[in-house]
Amino acid sequence: MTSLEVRAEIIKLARVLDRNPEHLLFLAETPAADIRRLREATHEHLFDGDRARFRRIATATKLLPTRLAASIAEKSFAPVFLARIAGEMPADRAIEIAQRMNTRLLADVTLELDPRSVGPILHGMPVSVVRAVALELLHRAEHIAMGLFVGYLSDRAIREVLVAIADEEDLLRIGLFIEARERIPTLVGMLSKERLRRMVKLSQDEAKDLWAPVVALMAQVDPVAQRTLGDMVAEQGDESLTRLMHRCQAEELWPSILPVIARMSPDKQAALLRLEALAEPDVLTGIFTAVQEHGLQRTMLPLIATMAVDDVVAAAGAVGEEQLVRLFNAAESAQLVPQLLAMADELDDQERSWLAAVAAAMPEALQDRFTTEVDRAQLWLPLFDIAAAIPHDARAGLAGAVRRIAAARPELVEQLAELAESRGLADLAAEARAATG
Amino acid sequence: MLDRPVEEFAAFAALAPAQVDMLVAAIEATNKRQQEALQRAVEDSLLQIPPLLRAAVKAAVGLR
Repeated sequence: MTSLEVRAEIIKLARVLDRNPEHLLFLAETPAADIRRLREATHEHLFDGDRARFRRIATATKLLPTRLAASIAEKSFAPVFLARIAGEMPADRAIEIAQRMNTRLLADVTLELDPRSVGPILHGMPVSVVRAVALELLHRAEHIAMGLFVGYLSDRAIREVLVAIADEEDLLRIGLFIEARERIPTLVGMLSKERLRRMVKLSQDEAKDLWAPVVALMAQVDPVAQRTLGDMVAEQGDESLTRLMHRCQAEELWPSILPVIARMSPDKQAALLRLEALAEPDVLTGIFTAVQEHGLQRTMLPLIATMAVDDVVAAAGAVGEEQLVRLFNAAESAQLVPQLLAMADELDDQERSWLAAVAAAMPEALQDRFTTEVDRAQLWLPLFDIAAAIPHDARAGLAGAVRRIAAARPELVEQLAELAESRGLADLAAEARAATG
Repeated sequence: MLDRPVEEFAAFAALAPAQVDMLVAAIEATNKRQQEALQRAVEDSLLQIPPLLRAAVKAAVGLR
């Protein structure tokens, strides 16, 4: 599965190597961190070989007044040459000279800088200069370079640049390549709800191909912002949610979007559950495979419970037994139930209740398949641990399933009854014994 | 070629030898291209500056 991070890293490496990203798709299975390490090592290889001679020039410029050094630099030196010299200067000297140069040249030089030198120079640069250079880079559609620079800017500079960038499409295209992902929540927090809503709306325009940047953004923000953005997608209507489902399926974006879906408001989740698209076997398999491969079981548990709880099913209207069967089929093929039960020790009481709610709300036929899976995986004990976490009344569904499996497999009766009793579940022990009695 | 411990690139062992060769060739080609561009840029830049300064810069970058 090619994660968004891997895709972004392939594009960034392709840019360094001046290649078409398509030619590097053989890296799709390589972890993003390793591709990034290769890119950084490539930068070292490209820049470290001849640093000494540029350091000598950088040292020599100390003898020139700033104004003269800037004038010579601006009139005579090519950007790539200036970038190498700037990279060997103390950042404050480079900043002093840079402030006296024109914006276009500064943008040229910025693009040629050794990425290891960019940070200190950008961090100390006056905000007005940062803003002007950012707009020049934007004019050149240098989204990848801008994504790299975000991590080095002060909050104040980021705020100014965000205000200066009028088109949310540019923000999304930069966002996909932000290297300092830990800054993304702060950055999104600086955007008004109106701007966020426009970003979400832009994703609806298939011609712009912005779903991946929107999903990448949603995946990186804090849980509160995830809910806000997820709800905004749902507010665009069922068509929008359906498009999201299909794009996530086509582009294998489930690992990024599932945590967002799990944090959406309940009414928005209910809208999502009504979608025909969510009942498509391919989509369900994609979702559960992503849950299994990326260890998202606990993240998704509340949503899975929601899917099964009667009142939501009733509210959703269209979510009938057939849809639940399809849902269970997908969960079954991803071995989700045994995995969740195997994690029972790690679940807190609320999570156990959610899991129990799933079991209790399932139709009879599914409960039987559920218990068969439990038996196959020898997970009766965790199941009874979970059953012990819910009130007696809510265990009725589970009791029926225990009775049926005990009737079908008499050899299990005593084992089930003893396990149930060891967990204080006299009702379930009695059900098991009654099946053969 | 890259001045980092081989272990840092363990993930690339999963690639086919031809793919690794392609990456190495691409990095070398980029290096060569950049060196040539830089050399041209230095020479062009030197032509633009006064002779006295030119001599000092040439000495610094090791040009005759």
